[in-house]
Amino acid sequence: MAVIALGSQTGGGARLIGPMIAQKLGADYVDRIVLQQAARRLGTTVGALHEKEERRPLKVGRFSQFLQKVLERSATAGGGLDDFGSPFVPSFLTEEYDAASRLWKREMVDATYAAPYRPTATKGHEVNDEKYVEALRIVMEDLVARGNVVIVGRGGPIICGAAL
Amino acid sequence: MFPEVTLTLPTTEDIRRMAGWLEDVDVNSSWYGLEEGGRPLHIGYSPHRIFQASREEWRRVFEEEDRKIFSVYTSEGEHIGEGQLVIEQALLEAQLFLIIGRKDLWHHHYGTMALVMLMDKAFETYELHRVWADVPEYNEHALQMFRHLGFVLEGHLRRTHRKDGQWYDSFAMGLLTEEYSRRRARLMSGATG
Repeated sequence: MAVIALGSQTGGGARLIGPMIAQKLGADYVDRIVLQQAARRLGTTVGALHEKEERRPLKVGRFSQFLQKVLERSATAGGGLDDFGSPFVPSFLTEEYDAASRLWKREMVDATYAAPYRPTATKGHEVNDEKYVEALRIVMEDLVARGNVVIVGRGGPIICGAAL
Repeated sequence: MFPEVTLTLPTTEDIRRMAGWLEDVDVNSSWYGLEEGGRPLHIGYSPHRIFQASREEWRRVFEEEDRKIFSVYTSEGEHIGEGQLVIEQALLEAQLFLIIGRKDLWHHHYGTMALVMLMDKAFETYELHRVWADVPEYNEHALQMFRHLGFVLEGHLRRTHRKDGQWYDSFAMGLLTEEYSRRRARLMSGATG
């Protein structure tokens, strides 16, 4: 069950080769959709998280160091930074598909996370850095546990490396 | 030049036409196929069964706050399809569905314009931040249309669509509000130029 995480530096071609690798391996390809789950956990929007990424310091080394630091802290806390309240599964992979309506079962989504009715943060700068990384970690670790996936960007190589 | 289309609330006649279009194998095979009993599948409600539903059930389907259903009409007043936005308020986003039932109008940009109208509704009327679609791999034309409108490939998930007893992969295509405003301006200047 392969797990491949690609860095997504500008011009690196990860978004070009990522889908090709996934197709060759018969694996899921996960790019921005990962933010949908992170946004649910954080009570924010995909747009806000995307904006946050765009504003990220361009120095890759700094972002990597920051990620490492948050992950280490999370590990020493026994992975217990999950203050989002409820058990979690990434719905785009795990929720039952409703054969009749061909829609994700809303009630199942509602049962799996305690998101507010409206997002509490709609701008990138309103999202706490550490909570953002932590939400990504939880989502990606679940993807790693399932295997057969190609993940692009968002610190995937570091987060998945730590999870394996 | 793109054709003009409008979105309106569905009438009972519209739903009857939807039921008729879905009987066509070309239409239902590019949509969700048939259920076990042989009836064509649809999203959110069954156009074949809704006429047996109570008035309350009808209202529940067509006046639901988180599911907006629209009929697509040409500027000549012809009903040609249906669009839906399934809204998730917690994320300020919607999953989008669009079917052009009049297959003689396929590949004439009616779908593209209906999609533009649906996104105007999503981003301007409902002030959402993201719209996405789950496009099954067998619908190449839809995939092309979403790409043309600037939708970004957010994920490709295996075996998520079941149609006629078989599983198919799907592409999650998404568009953020700021991406749309840039794209729409370019698209419309091309359409009128």
